[in-house]
Amino acid sequence: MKNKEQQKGKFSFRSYITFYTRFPIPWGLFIASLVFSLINTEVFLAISKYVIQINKGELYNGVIIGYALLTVLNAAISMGSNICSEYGIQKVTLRARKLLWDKILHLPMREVERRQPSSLISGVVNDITEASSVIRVIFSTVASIYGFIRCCVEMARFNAKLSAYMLLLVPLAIGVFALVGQLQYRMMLRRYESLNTMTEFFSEHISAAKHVKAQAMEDLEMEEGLRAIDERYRADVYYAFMEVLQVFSNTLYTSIGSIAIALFGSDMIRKGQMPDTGINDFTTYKGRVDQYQAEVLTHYQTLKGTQGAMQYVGVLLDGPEEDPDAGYDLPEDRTGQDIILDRVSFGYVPQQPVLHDLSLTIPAGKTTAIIGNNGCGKSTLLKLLQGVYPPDSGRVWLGRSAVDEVKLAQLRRRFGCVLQHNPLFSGSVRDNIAYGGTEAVSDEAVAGAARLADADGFIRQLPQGYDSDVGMGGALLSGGQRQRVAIARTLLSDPDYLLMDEAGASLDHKSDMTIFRTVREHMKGRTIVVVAHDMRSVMEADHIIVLNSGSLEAAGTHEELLKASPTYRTYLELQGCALAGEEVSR
Amino acid sequence: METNAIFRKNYGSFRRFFSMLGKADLPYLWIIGYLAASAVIANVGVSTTEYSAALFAGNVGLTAVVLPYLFYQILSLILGSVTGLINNLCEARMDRNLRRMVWRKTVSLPLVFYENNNPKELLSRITTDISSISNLVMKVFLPIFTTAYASFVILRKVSSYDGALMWSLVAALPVNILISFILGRLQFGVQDLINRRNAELTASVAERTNNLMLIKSMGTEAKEAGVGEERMKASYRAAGMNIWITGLAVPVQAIAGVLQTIVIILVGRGYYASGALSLTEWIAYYGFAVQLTNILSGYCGYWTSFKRAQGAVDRVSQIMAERSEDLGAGDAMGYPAGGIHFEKVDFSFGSKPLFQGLDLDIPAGRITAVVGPSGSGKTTLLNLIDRLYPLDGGSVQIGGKDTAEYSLSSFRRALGYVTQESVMYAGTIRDNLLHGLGRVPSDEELDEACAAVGILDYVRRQPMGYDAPVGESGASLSGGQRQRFSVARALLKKPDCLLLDEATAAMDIGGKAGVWASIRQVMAGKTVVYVAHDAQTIRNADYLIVLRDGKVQSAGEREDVLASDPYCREMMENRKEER
Repeated sequence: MKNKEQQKGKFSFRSYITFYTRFPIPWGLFIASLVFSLINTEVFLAISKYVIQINKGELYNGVIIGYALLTVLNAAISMGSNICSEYGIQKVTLRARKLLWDKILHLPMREVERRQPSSLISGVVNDITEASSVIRVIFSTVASIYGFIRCCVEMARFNAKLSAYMLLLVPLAIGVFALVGQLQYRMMLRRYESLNTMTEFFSEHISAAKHVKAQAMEDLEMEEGLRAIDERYRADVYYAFMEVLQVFSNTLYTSIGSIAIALFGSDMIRKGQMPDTGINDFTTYKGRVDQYQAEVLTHYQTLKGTQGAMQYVGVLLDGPEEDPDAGYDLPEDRTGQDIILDRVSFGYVPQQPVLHDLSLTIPAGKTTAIIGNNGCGKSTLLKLLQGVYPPDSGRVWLGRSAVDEVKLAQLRRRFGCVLQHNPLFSGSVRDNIAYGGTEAVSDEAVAGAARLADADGFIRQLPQGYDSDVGMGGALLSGGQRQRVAIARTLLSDPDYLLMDEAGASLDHKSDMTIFRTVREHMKGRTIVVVAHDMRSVMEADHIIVLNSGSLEAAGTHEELLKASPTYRTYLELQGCALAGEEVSR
Repeated sequence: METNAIFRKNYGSFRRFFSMLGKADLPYLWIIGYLAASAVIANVGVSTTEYSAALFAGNVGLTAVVLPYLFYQILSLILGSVTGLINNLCEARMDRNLRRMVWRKTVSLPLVFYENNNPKELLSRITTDISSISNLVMKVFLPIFTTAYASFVILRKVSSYDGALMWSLVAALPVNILISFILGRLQFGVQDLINRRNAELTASVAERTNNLMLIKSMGTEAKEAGVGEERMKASYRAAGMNIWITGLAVPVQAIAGVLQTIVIILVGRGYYASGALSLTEWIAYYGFAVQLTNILSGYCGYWTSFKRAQGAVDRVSQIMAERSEDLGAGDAMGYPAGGIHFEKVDFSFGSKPLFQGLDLDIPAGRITAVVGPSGSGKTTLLNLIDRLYPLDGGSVQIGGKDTAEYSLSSFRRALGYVTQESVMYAGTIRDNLLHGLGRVPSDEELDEACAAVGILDYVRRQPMGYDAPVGESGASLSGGQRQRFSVARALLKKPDCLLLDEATAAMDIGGKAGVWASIRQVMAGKTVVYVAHDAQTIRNADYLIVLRDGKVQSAGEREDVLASDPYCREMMENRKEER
């Protein structure tokens, strides 16, 4: 919706045509629906004749039976037409949705971050529905235009002169339509914005309840909330007036039509230019014409309304994507490949580099710790290793393979990653641990990984053990439990390189140490990269890298850094490890 | 038995509904205005139909028919718009008043309420649930009166043609109404299924889209494409069901409509044939019969929104039935002087006891750290000091006086508390620093506070300085930055007693050291209590309390506890040497 408003650009048919060439369209269903609609126009006109007769008091059995049969026939045909077109739409939606979802799964991370997950979600859920409905609108428009012309012909046939008067109303119809369209756009925008503001306010403030209570800021909170509510109310009042104006314009148009018929028609009846009950006939035809005219105009509005969704989906589908299987194979040899950064620079925003001309080596088969201040580029560095972001310049090497030239799928399978907060997906504990497995994973393997991560114990105590549901995002588990499941998941995927970014921060100190040691034991001979703020973990590493504002300050063993890096020494002192350090250096 | 229970439940929810509406300060004048306008419209509608019937029958006398017809056309155009406007405004006011009521209540509820309810659900209480309740009132309850009156006016008119004709019309009506009712229920069921399937699809897509990084690093793109496809197909199948039900409803409704029309025509035909009805009256009668059918079956269609709103009514009336905190009762808290003392404090979460007879002393004017493994009750301890939960037994005293004697609002205001979730609101940096402060400090003072927590450089780097927006919930800031602003905000309040719950956990090593130095300086001579779990932070305390499973394991001067307590020793031990 937001994108839609922003992208309210000019109407381009090209985006529609490209969208519909991306997947097969069930033409048969749409054409069948169109044929049904065209036939129904004739039935509709035939019914009108009976309605006119009934209104004239010509209540013969034939009229009643004819009216009844045709009405039912009309309903049956429109059922056929609706079912065909609805199925068409649903098929198109399903196909387009699959396509878009596949695209999103392969979007480069930079694109995901730029576009915001929430807009991608509404792309798959809402925008795609709107974009898919366009084809039906086009077919319906054809049917409505046909109906409009047919009814105009019938009306003119009944009384050409009065019909000609009606033609004078066409500019009025267009004027009203343009006005209503404008109002519609403004109303929806204002309403949407006010709803958004209010939702944002309450969503922020309800989650912050503890903060509010703790400071006894209820009064302020109340006042601000009431203000947000009143803001929404003002938008509703605006909407109330605008909507009435809209309805008024529409009704005004039909009323003017009725008044014109009454004035001119009665005059013509008095002059004998029309049969006595002619107003009845003419009004009936006029009603049909108006109905089809309204349909055409509504379709046009709908079409315009889908413009934003169509553009959003189109741009997304045309955009860049990762091909996990493009490039060279990684060598089979799974040991002894150092990770080398060669003059790597990277920034999220131009002119604000996070990593600056960084060259370093992460030795194979050892544990390397990376330390540095908030924002010095530690986590970014880990993402570059897995080829999540391409460097702006320089290269990342895995032994002699350049990360940007090998198959991404293979590269990422070699890496395992544990972060400070690791998401789980709703489903059983077992499914989550076995998540990365390509083929079926045995129960023993799952339990084995869980034991390594110190998770087996608590999982067995859950009501359904390994089959217990973890809830959305793992919400039914505690932070520490989630973390253990995530570590088990990573270990089960059997990585050659294990990246741990503040992995212990949500565990209490003791479990952190226990797990960390078990993991190191298990990964013996393979490469571990740890980002940590706890200097005691850092000191245990074989190799330590100190980053400072995206540049390398120092790298080496604990002993070497004690001499070479003032930052390292300061950190040790601040965490009360200085004493031990001095002893070693002595 | 079964039906009886359901019946009782419905009855209960009706009662709750009306008692809630009673509290809501509904816009009664507007409601009356709406009902009055609808009544006038119903009468004008009858006249319009009669004059257009006359026109249809060929009575084209200018003053007798055409001009009155024009008059009524214009009148109903204007009145229709006015009624529409009143209706819209009435609904908007109802929305606002109900929302105000729920928000006033929500703000006054204790912390436990927020902890037991999902924030997203509470949010929809205020946004969508309220809308469906006003919608219920405007579309279901008020139309009981307007529909009844409109039907009455039409039937009165028909009976003025012929009393028996009116009664036969009344007899013919229920067929169509019944069918619209059944179809409405059926469609509601399917729509519900579709909504559920779509919600599942959205949830599944959202969970994955928010964590695309995990999918990429696990290389499970193909697997996820498959999972997504299954959800999409489930949505498709639900939509397919709806297609058939909605599709079949069209001919069923048409058949019902036709049957009804036939009855209406057959009833009227006799009177018309016998001359009891003139042509004009016949046309008007036929028009009235069609209108009546439309009004009533339209109303039945809305009954489904009653079903939909029932959940909303229940949820909102439950909130209204919750007990509020009394913030004002008790003595006004001045200066929280003296140490904090826990005397035989009992506290449990539901049936799970946490503290049983807890005795504890926190020295005045010093910095005390509370440590211990997760689940040992550290955060709860701070919450009890700030009286965010009621005690099950015992008392918490400050300077020898039971804190329960102070009024909640003055007490909580006297204490500063930086909670674990560093709260930021959408707005500028300045808005956030000043939030709830009650005074407007100079930029120099803000600079000082920001410098104290090491974030002044960041503020200076922003092109708009203190007026730079921080995004929704501070989204444009990192965790460490949010924590720094939270501490700065607490320091600006100059509290006499400060509680901090892992308030520096996301900061880097250098940052933590700087912030703690500032806290020590700003809070000199005042009481500070904080919860921490890393070795570096613990070293900033003068006094240490180690909690384990809701009991005090050790308490005393920092160096003593660090040296003697097994938990602390383990935490502080040097692993490099151990190897």
